[in-house]
Amino acid sequence: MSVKNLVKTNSYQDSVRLMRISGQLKKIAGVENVSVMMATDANKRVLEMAGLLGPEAASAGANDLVIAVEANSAEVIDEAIQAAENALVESSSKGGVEVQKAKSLELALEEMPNANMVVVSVPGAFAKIEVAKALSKGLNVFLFSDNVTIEEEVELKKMALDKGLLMMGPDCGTSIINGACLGFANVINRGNIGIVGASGTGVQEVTCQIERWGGGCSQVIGVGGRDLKEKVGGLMFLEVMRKLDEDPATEVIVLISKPPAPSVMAKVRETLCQLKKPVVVNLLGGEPPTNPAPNEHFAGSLEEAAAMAVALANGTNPLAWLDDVAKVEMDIVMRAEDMSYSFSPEQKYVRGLFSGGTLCYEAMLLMQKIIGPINSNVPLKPDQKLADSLISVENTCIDLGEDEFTVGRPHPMIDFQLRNERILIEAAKPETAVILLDVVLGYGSNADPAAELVPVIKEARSKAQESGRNLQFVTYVCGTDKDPQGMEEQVKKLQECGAVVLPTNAHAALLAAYIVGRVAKDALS
Amino acid sequence: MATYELFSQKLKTVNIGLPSFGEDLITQEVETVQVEWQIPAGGNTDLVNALKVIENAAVEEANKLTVERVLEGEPVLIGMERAQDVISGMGPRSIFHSGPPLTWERMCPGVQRAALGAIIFEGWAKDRESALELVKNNEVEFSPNHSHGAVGPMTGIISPSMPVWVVENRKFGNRAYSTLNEGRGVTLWYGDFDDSTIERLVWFRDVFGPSVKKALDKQSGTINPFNLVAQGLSMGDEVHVRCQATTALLIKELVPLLGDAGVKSSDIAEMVRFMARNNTFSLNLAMAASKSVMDAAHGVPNSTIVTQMTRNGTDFGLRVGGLGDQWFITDAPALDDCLYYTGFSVEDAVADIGDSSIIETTGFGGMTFACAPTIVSFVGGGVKDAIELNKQMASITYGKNKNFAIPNMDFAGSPTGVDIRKVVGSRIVPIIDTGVIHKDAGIGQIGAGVAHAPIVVFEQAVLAMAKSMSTKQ
Repeated sequence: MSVKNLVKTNSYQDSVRLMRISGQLKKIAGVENVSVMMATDANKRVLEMAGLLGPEAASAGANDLVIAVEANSAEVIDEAIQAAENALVESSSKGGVEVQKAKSLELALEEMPNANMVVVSVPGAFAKIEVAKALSKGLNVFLFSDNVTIEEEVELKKMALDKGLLMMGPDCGTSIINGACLGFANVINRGNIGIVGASGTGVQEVTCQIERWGGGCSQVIGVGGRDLKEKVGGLMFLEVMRKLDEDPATEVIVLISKPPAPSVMAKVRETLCQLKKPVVVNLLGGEPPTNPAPNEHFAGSLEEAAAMAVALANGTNPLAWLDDVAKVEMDIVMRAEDMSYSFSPEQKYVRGLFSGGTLCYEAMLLMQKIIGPINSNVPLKPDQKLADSLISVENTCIDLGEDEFTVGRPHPMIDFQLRNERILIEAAKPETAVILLDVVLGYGSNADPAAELVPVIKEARSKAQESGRNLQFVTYVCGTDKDPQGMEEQVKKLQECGAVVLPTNAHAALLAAYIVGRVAKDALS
Repeated sequence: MATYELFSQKLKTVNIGLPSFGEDLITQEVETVQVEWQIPAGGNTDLVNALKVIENAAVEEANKLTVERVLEGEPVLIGMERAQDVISGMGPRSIFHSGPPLTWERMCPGVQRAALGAIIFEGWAKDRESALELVKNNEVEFSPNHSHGAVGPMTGIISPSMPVWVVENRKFGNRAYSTLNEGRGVTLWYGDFDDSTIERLVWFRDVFGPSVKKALDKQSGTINPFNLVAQGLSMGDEVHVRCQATTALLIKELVPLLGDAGVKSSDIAEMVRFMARNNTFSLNLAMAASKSVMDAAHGVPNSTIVTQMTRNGTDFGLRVGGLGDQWFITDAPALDDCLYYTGFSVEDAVADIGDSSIIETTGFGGMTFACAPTIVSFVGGGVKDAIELNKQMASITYGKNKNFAIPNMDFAGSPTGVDIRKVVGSRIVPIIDTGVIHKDAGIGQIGAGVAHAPIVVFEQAVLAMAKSMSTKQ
């Protein structure tokens, strides 16, 4: 075995892309170990521990790219290095998109002096510098990066407020501005519903449901998951509420967040009372207000928020859809009943494997009402926390987008490897009855999630079959027909391999819960 | 409280980071520029942390104010006087030089020779040996021009009886000074002297200076140096190494005033002949005007805008708007990117020298290189190269000066207000147009081109600013 390093100076590349390239290279026969990374001090330590650090890489700097290969022959090493070089020059674009490039934000602005939005996804340690530059140039910011300190967040948001600018993030996954998707977002009709959200996939779910109910959005603005924490105090959330109230294209406002800090909640309600327009509020798991303001409409789930918003946008009764709820839920119960007969006695539990954090959270909220505590790496209550996120206990839901899983790899909405491995693990366990999955479409997500999942679902089901078990996959596809992946095609592929596909995240969670609830009841009787 | 302007605008994005986000936007027909991002400051942790501290609203506000002061500056030529009569701190045995403060021992040979020439011109000594003696006995007081509101190109020598342009910044009331440009040949500014040099200085003192003084005393304030600069920029000058047009314009302005003041026609003829043969004659006036503007812009607390870059063949010095009188100093860089006359190379050259970098500090010269097609061979050969370079300069400056328009760039304003944060973050340094002079006596100019300001002084300044801001908090 020998190790070779090739250093390419001043060639910064995003770590996600490099990880993908490293993954491809590992598949080359004869390659023992390989890593393509920027030679930051932290990465050099990683290389060293992997036995891949040669003197070339050791003396390289943070803007230098290192290709480090360990293989059984010099030929294989050369082959791997060549493959890496090819992959690096290949455009990452799917359809040969023509991209105008510049070396810095300032130079980009020389090319496009009237830019009005900067999308930032650089490593969090450097994000503040880019964001502050953008804000001081009078540009709105969509900040995808995480690992930005809360102090920096407050400072940057104050800067933005002073200048009347949007500062979405940090860790902002989803926005739709003037109809254009930023980050991870679904393609929906334009309309008169304005959304402000402190939750990525929660916002995606509400927009997709609005689309399903025939409505459309004026603006969809994510503010980052921490905005409603005490320290940030809802700085951007409250501001966007006010701005949407003044926006002539917006007639209904939807607020989406996990329950805010109490002090911030008070501010949200105070601001809400001052707004002229109807406001639909979904604070996942939050209690309905005891004395709602005249323009305040409480929604119990993401789907409900969408349905109410569309009704309000159409000038119809926002509570009318509740008439359907009982019927829909009854349908789900019946369906669950039908399915529950197919399990063997030891199959008792649901295993939810989520790529969307808010989708996971909502599913747990709904399921616990039917089947009791749900164990999780992101539990609703502290005593439901899994001792080991890798080992499910009884009914379990896992958010695979949590930091513990994403260090050193792309988000599970892009990279399915981790979830696919976990699906097979859960499928092999005799106690598993239902595997609950979310599939998030739209810009930013994997180009063909069904193609990633179908072979795994087939394998899982056939292995269970061999052991005499019927394994039920319950899935929800969060997307629209206009998404690049195409909703219809994705749903069809999943259904063809035996997965059940529900039209909302809530329905999928309810179906999964009623199935195992029913199974449990049978076991008791 | 209006709604966001953004909601009624067409979305135009800059994407910094994951290329797929930019590609998705382009797929959605959103006009997008992708930044090929590099870790700022080469990933140096101390510098990155310092940049994070000083990327804030207070600095932004200070920089805005600083550049406003630059743009509001209104330099007018009010007179020509003997240096010792107008420059504060100039004693009877003072000799001022370019760049940061310097002792005799550390002066490069060119500056030393020029200083000796000035001593002889002043009549303090008869010859080189006795002049040197005087210096060795500490009977000459050296001080940098910049500390006295003055500037001089190359060696920058100013001695008490030299006539100096007096420029007043009308908006702020401060004044700045610079000598008469000696032109080509054996000259003090090129670091050498002989009898002809002294003769010319005497003529400056006895004829040229008093004549211009007479003209300007009568019609003070009628010549606006920055108007000449603005016109020169539209006539093929970048107004640092190429000042042909600007010089012609200055002559055009001066001659009627000389006539009105009753200056002898034979003197006028001789003066015009001298100015017409000296393509850089207007440089010193533009420098004095720039100095008056940048001194007035200096001193805004928290400002990270450069108010002074200067060098003397030994040291390169930087002064920053919000960091008081602190100099950030490193070795004057070797001029290895310049073009040399046949037979000469960087080995023969004096390192970067002169106060004339006040031009780039103010926002022309290298900052407006694309104005001067005849000298673009200094920066790669084509006007396109110069335009690229000027865009790079715009990327390290705070704003643009509409008065100094660049015709080749659709009359874009000149990059103005070098921001140390942007220099350190991007590692793009200001370029400074310059002539190159030989180390040894008797040779003079051996080339010209561009010098690159050394990044290390900008790094020192960023660390100092971060330190000062975090102690205040």
